[in-house]
Amino acid sequence: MPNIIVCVKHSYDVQQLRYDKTSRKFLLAEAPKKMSDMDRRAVEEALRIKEKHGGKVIALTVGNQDSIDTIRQAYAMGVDEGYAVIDKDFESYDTNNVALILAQAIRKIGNFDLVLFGSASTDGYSRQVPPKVAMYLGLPFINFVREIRLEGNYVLATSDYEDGLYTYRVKLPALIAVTLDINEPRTPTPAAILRASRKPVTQWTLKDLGVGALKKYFEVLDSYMPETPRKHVIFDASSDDKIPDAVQKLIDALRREGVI
Amino acid sequence: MVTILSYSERADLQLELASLANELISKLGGGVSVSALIGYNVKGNADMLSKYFDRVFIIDSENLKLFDLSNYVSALMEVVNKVKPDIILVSGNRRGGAVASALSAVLDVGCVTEVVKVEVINNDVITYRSAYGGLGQARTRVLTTPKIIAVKPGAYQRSTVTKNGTVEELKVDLKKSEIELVDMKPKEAGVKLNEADIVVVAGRGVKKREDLQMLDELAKILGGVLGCSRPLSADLGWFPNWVGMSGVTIKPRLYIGIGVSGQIQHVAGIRDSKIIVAINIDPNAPIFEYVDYGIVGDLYKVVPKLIDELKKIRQR
Ligand SMILES: Cc1cc2nc3c(=O)[nH]c(=O)nc-3n(C[C@H](O)[C@H](O)[C@H](O)COP(=O)(O)OP(=O)(O)OC[C@H]3O[C@@H](n4cnc5c(N)ncnc54)[C@H](O)[C@@H]3O)c2cc1C
Ligand SMILES: Nc1ncnc2c1ncn2[C@@H]1O[C@H](COP(=O)(O)O)[C@@H](O)[C@H]1O
Repeated sequence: MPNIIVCVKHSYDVQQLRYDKTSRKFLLAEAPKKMSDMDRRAVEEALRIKEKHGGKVIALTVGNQDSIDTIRQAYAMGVDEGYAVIDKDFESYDTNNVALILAQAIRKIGNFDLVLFGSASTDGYSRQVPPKVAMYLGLPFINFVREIRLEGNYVLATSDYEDGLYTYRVKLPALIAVTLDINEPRTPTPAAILRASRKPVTQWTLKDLGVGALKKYFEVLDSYMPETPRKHVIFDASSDDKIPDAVQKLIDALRREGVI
Repeated sequence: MVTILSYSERADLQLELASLANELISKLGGGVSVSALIGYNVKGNADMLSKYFDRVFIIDSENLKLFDLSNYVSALMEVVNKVKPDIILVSGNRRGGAVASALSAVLDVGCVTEVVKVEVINNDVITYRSAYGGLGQARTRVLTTPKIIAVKPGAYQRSTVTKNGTVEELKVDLKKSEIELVDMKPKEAGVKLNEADIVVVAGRGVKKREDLQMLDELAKILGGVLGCSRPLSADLGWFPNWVGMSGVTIKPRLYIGIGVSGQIQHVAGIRDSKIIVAINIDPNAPIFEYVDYGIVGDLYKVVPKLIDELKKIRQR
C-alpha cells in the first residue's frame, strides 16, 4: 500500500498571460494561475496507482498564499491530504531554494514510497527542481517518465529520452518525474470541487521546516516579450474563387524574400 | 584566467559547447577550456575532443553504462574538483539538463537551464533563457562561482577552432547503480529538423495520416523537410519527434505551419525562424499573430494548389 507524495506547483497559465505592448513586460498581477500541466498528470498517475494498489496520495506545494488553490485542485481530483509551505517571498525563490524546501517538507511528511513530480513546470520550465530534490534526499530518481508500474517493493518506469524509451526498475522509495504523455488527467466534478473547498490544508512556514535564511544562487534581471517584428500579411482563401490569387501572392512574397 | 568546463554525453553537443567556451574565454580575458568525457566505452572520442578543447578528462566506468544521475554527478564532481572551473557548461538535452541541475545541488551553486544566448557585460556573465513556458525571454544571472549554464542544443554552432589539447584519464570509485535497465526501445532517428533550411510543419488540422503525403510533397518541392506539432507525434505517433519547446527548437530560413493553431509552446520553438508562414482555416488562430505571411483557408484546398503552382515554377 504505497504512500505517494506529489509535488505540485501553482503556475501562471502561460496561455493566458498578457503583456504590455509598450514596455513588453508581462502583466503578472492579473494573470490567472492553475496547477502546472505535468503536475496534474502526476496527481492523476498517483490516483491511478492508489486505485490499483491502495495507499494514500498527498499533494505538496511551495508558494504564496494563493498556491493553496492548487492543493484544492488536487483535492478535487481526489488526493487524500494536502500540504502547502507558504512564504510571501516565494516569487524571489530560485530552484535551489524550492528544491531544498520541498526536500525538507518531504522528510517532515515522512513515510513515503514514491515522490512524483512534473518533468517541467508550466511557467518555470527549468526542469531543475526534481533532480535537485533527488540529490538532497539521496534517493534514486527516474526522469521524463511516460509509464509507471508498481511490482511489490519495486517500481518500473519508462523514461522518454531523445534516443529511445528506457524502462528502469528500482526499489522503493524512489522519485519520478512524469511527462505530458503519461495519461489524460480527470476533470473533477462540480461536487468534488465544492467538497475540496472545505478540506483542511496543512500549512507550514519555513521555520516549521527548520529552514533558515535562504542563500541566493540565481536572479532574473528582467523578463519580457521579445520583439520579433513580423510582417503579418494575410491572404484570404476562405472561398474557392480566392484560392488561386492567395496562393500566387504567397509564392510571389516568398520569392521576393529569397527563401524559395 | 578563467577555466571553463564543458560536459555533454554527446560528442556533437560538446562541440557546440566548445564554441561558447572559446567565446567566453576570449571575452573574459583568456583561460582554458576543459572537456569532461564521461560514460562507458567513451575513450574513443577523446582524440576528437582534444582537437577542440585545451584539456580533456576521461572517466570511463562500467557503472556509467546506465544513466544513473548520481553516478554521472559523482564522476563530473571528480573533474570539477580537479580543475576548479569558474563556469560549467552543460548541453541541455534531457540527460544533460538533469546532470546540470543535480550538480548544482551537490556543489551548492546556482544553475540556469534552457539558455539560448550568453553575453559578457562588464565581466559579468548574463544568460538569456525562455520565460513563462516559452512565451517570453528572460535575462538572468547565476550569482555563485562556479556558475552552471545548461545551453539548449542548437543554440551555438559546432566549433571549428582547432586546438591541440591534452588527454588525461581519471579513476573514480562509483557504486553500482540501484537502478536497473530492463528494456530499451530505440527511437527511429527521423529527419534532423533543426538542421533543415526549410521546415513544413503539419498540425492537428491534418485529419488522416495519409494526408501527410501531400505535405511531404510540398516540403520536397521546396527542398525542405516535414515535421509536426506535438499531438501528431505524442498522441498519434505519426512522427518520432515534434517541433516546439518540449520538442525540437528550429530556426530555419522558412517555416510553414499547416493546420497548426500556434499555441505558445509550439511558437516558442519556431520564433527565431527567418520567415514564418501559416495556413489555417481559422482567421482567429493565434499562429497568425506570429507570421510574416498567412493564408486563411482550408489546407486541403490550398496546399494542392500551392504544390501545382510551385511545380509550374520548377518546370520553367
Ligand atoms: C508543457 C507543454 C509543452 C508543450 N510543448 C509543445 C511543443 O513542444 N510543441 C507543440 O507543438 N506543442 C506543444 N504543446 C502542446 C500545445 O499546447 C498545443 O496543444 C499544440 O501545439 C497544438 O497542436 P496543433 O496546433 O497541431 O493542434 P490544434 O491546437 O488542435 O490546432 C489545429 C489547427 O488546425 C486548424 N485546422 C483545422 N482544420 C483545418 C483545415 N482543414 N485547414 C486548415 N487548418 C485547419 C484549426 O483551425 C486549428 O488552428 C505543449 C503543451 C504543454 C502543456
Ligand atoms: N513551488 C513548487 N511547489 C511544488 N512543486 C514544485 C514547485 N516548483 C517545481 N515543483 C516541481 O518540480 C517540477 C519541475 O519544475 P521546474 O523545475 O520549475 O521545471 C514541477 O512540475 C513540480 O512537480
